[in-house]
Amino acid sequence: MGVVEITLAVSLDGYVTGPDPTAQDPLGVGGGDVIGPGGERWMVDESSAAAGAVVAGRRAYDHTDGWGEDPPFKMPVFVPTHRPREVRTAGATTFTFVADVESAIAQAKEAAGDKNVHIMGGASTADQALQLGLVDQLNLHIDPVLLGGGTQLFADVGSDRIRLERTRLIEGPRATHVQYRILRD
Amino acid sequence: MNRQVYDEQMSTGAVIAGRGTFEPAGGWGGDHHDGVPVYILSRHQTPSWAAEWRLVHYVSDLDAAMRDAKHAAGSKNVLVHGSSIAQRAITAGLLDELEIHLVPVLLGDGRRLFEHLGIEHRELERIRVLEGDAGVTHLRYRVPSSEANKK
Repeated sequence: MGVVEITLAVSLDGYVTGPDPTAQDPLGVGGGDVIGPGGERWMVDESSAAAGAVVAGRRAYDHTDGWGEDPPFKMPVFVPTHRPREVRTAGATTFTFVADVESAIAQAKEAAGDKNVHIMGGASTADQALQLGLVDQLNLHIDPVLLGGGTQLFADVGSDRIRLERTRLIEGPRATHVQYRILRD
Repeated sequence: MNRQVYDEQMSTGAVIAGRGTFEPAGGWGGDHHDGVPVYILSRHQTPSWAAEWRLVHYVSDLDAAMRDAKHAAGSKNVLVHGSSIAQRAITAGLLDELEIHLVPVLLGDGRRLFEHLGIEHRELERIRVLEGDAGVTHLRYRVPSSEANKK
């Protein structure tokens, strides 16, 4: 059985985008310059190889215009949204739009089989998944920057404490990569 | 906390903190460590219970407090203690280094460390990562002056 994991790059002051993210500037003002992709190349490869399905937020989908003609995922992607639309196939990727984060994860697990479900954000999707208690593992790529504003990670994870166990710590050339397992009480 | 990190904090030559850190801690009994001077940023007068403590100075101006603390510390570092004062020091370009003790828990609610920075993005330089006890990760950064950040 695979795990459900969140992978996000975050500034040291806790933002996953700079201020005012838009379609033209999906990582917000200044965010694109400083927030790296989800870790080093080999980590991206590692987590892609282990994943069997992806959960991606609707805002990221819209801001990237559905990742264009040939999206990089090449596996089923589930997008929680209040604005349903038809399944879209682009290259080797299918995007399925579902009502909420809970059903996105449930369907992604089904599709992933023995592989992992990779939650790539955004912050709201990640927060909801954590609040629902549906996440097994958290990969934070902490970028050495203070953004001073933007989209906060963990702004809405509910009021119950979620305890973590650090399972990996890697000093990348720029970011610090910390992996946590979510502990269940 | 990791022993090395704790020892470093306790080898500083002066302490700057806000009232919100100092007063709930009972003013550390008037001596944070080793008899070094303590500067408390406050718009209020020294409370009567702390008035007799010769190491404790209530001050209203961050620049002046930092200047006095650096002078008092001599060749040692100044410990900036507490989230509110740390944020003010970063915003004012007065902080040289930042040490985060990243604790493995999501609290869901409470006071945020970086809520009121009021800065545009600022690049830091990571200078140390330590695996502490109980899953705590100690991340130490150099904060370049705001001038150095202008590209």
